[in-house]
Amino acid sequence: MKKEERERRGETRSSRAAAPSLASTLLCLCWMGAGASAPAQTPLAKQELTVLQGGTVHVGNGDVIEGGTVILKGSHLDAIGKALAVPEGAHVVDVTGRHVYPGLIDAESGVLLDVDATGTGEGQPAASIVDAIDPFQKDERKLAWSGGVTTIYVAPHRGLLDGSGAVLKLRPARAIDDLVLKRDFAVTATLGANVDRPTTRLREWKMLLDRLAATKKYMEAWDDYEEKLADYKKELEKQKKEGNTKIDKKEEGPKPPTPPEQRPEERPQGPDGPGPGGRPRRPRRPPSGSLLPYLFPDSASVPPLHLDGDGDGDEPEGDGHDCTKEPPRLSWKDGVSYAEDGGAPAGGEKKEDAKKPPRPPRDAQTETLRKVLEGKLTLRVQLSHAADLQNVLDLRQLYPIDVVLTGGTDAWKFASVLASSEIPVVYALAADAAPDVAAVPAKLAAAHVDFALTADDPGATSTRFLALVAAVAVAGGLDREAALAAITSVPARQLGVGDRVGTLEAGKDADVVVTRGELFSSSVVFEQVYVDGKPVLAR
Amino acid sequence: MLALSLAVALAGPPAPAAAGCPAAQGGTLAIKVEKIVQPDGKLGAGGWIVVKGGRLEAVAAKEAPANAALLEFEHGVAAPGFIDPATALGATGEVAEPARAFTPEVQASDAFDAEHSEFKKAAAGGITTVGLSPSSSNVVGGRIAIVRTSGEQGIAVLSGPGPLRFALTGAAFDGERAPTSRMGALPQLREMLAGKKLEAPGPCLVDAATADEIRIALETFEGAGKQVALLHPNGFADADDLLDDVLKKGAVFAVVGPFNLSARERELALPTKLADRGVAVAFTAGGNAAKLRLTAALAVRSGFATDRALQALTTVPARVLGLDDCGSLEAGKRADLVVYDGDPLDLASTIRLVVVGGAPQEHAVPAGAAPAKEKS
Repeated sequence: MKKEERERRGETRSSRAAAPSLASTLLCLCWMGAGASAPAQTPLAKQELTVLQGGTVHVGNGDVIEGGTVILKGSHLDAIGKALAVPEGAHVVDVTGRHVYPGLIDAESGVLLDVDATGTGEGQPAASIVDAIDPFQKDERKLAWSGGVTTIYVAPHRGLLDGSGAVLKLRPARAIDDLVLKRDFAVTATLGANVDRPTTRLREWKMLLDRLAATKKYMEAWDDYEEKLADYKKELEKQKKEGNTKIDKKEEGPKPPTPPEQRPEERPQGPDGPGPGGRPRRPRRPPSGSLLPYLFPDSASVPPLHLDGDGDGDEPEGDGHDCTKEPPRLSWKDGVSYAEDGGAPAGGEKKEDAKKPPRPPRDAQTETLRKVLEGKLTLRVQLSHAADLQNVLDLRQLYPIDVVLTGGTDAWKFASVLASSEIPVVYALAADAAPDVAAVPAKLAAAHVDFALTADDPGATSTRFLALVAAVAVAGGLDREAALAAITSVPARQLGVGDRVGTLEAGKDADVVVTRGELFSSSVVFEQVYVDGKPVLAR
Repeated sequence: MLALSLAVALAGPPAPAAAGCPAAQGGTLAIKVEKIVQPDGKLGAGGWIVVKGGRLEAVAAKEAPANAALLEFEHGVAAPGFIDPATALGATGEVAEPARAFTPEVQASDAFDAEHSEFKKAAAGGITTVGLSPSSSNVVGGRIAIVRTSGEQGIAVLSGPGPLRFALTGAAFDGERAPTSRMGALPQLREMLAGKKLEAPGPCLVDAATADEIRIALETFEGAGKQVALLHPNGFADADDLLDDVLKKGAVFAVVGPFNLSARERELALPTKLADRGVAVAFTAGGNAAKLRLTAALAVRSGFATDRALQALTTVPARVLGLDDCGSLEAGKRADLVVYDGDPLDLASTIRLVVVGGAPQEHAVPAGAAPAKEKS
């Protein structure tokens, strides 16, 4: 930097030295992760000021500013308006005759995904797509930039209930964490034709409903346990005060079986069966039954689950073990509230003593679904049949879930319900759609459905042509600014990142696209693309 | 916005286009547009297009004739109807006779079904002429039929003889019948080409995908003095030396497409690469208008010039089919034209009017959609 420039900025030798050099080094390393030929470091104190002047600015929410100015400061948008004054020290870019848009957002993309890693057969809700991101896919990012796309949503799509998706910012970074804007946004449910899992729609629905019902039971079991644990603790306190010392020794919880190797037949062959090598698993609590009873409540082979946490010793079915008569037998069964008996206490303790309630098994997959039922995680349903849509709406009556519909070719038939229920829709439109299909977005807009647009061709390559998809919707009757919103502000808001991206408004991320020619024209040329204030594409 | 000032109601409920259509009854139709696509593919000044007797009487005229029915499109852009040179559109059954590899006498016109709904869709989408072609499953597939996608009766019309279809790709050498290899096929092919049996207008349409197939195709056909239109010559993408050879020989056509959103960069860059070396490029998409427009849009996105793209949809496929009565808006040619409310290459543009052989078709605005907004 020249001496005159430094003086103008009012920096002194000492103030520059005082700049947090470590932080700035890290910042630079982050940005230069993509290539070693980046320009020299900029100290943290100085913020890049870029001014795009004189273009037609499309804010992304319907507003259009002719002869507008967009000021990028550092990684954020500083000001947007008509013919604003240019701040000192800014790098001015003349964009007269050009169009300026927010960075486009693709609500369903395959960019940066390692394709093989996304299919997990029957799907694991607890999985996260973040683990399948390949940050070394430079070319796909460049192609996306060449189409003006700066933010994408990626998600797994194979199983019936598959893992969580994530919102990514297409920065030129190599660390996955630098790319993730929001992780674990929604759990994906894919319904309808699925080549990986040929099945009928009827069976698919049953599987989905059963899974959610099992989750509900799981939640109830856990709530029940929490409640009983609280009661138990109170009881424990009470009995401690009463001086019943037996309790302290006996009630340290479920005893480890002694010796378990000698009683292999009594071990349930479930997730708590013998571990690898036949060694017992770490016996931290009694298996009061696996998820099998939840999934097969009517099956005769699995005894009905019976939790007895209140210590009143329900009469066991079957062999009628009477603990008051027989001498205490240190059987593995004792002290555990197994499925058959009602939790006969070990050592023939008095029935009035407080018993620690048995802890239900914890299952990571179901825990994720639990978040869906609690409304902490969205269920993103991908479907194509109108009938599936009806089922999804019914599902929403059963469980308080947030639903975002993707695909949904027949969605327009339920437009009024979708609008009144405020269910967001991601409408996947084919770029070579027949005229009646191309007209659907316009119908959705007329019915005030909240919808974003994406390509009906979920590959890494289709993201770069997002504007073409929106153009087809315009041909079908959708208003131009509404089409722009459907690929900018609407997906941003639906994905929960509307405070950061989606429109050209002060304070948001400086993701800006400059085109020669209007966005929906075939001959549009993407001249400049900025991500977080840095140019990633310049022609 | 569309402004109708005419004596005959054309924008009524979907009645057969023939009823009340002035041009069909021998009257004159005059269409006013803001811009007109010129034969060189560039957009030129607009004016009145005068249609009479199924032909274009005047293009970009300053005034409409006195007794003409008038149609005015304020922001309209008139383009020639698109031409798809190699389709199986509207055929009954397979357009292939796989029992024998050499079937020069087979005519695709014999599989033609005039009332097939695909023709109506094609016409509504702006395709006015297609080549109904035998498939690529025979070395010599037979004669392509020239089909106008609509006409006075509102159904498709066969018109004139078309070029011959050949194939040198793998599909033509099915192990079940002789010849089972290209090597085995070529002597017979050369003999046929040398004889008089294979006379047809236009170039020979040959399926040749890989570089070696392309090379053999060029040597064989050009050696016999025939012009060649290569179908889907993807081998050009990797073989630069092949392109240099092509440049030396003579006029060669390439028919590419359709492209979709999954197309690779290399594929999308091919039209530009070919056109830069003097190859005349035409697009094909099986007669599907939306796919054809997407193919053109993707090519342009990847650097194909817009004038070349329009030519690839109109003048070049006309030459591929050996036609000189359509493919451009010039006086004396067939009145096959489409009026868009914007640039024809923009996917956001809608079609306001389709005229095939002088007969206007019902407007191709999708039912139930809000009226398309005019580009400001």
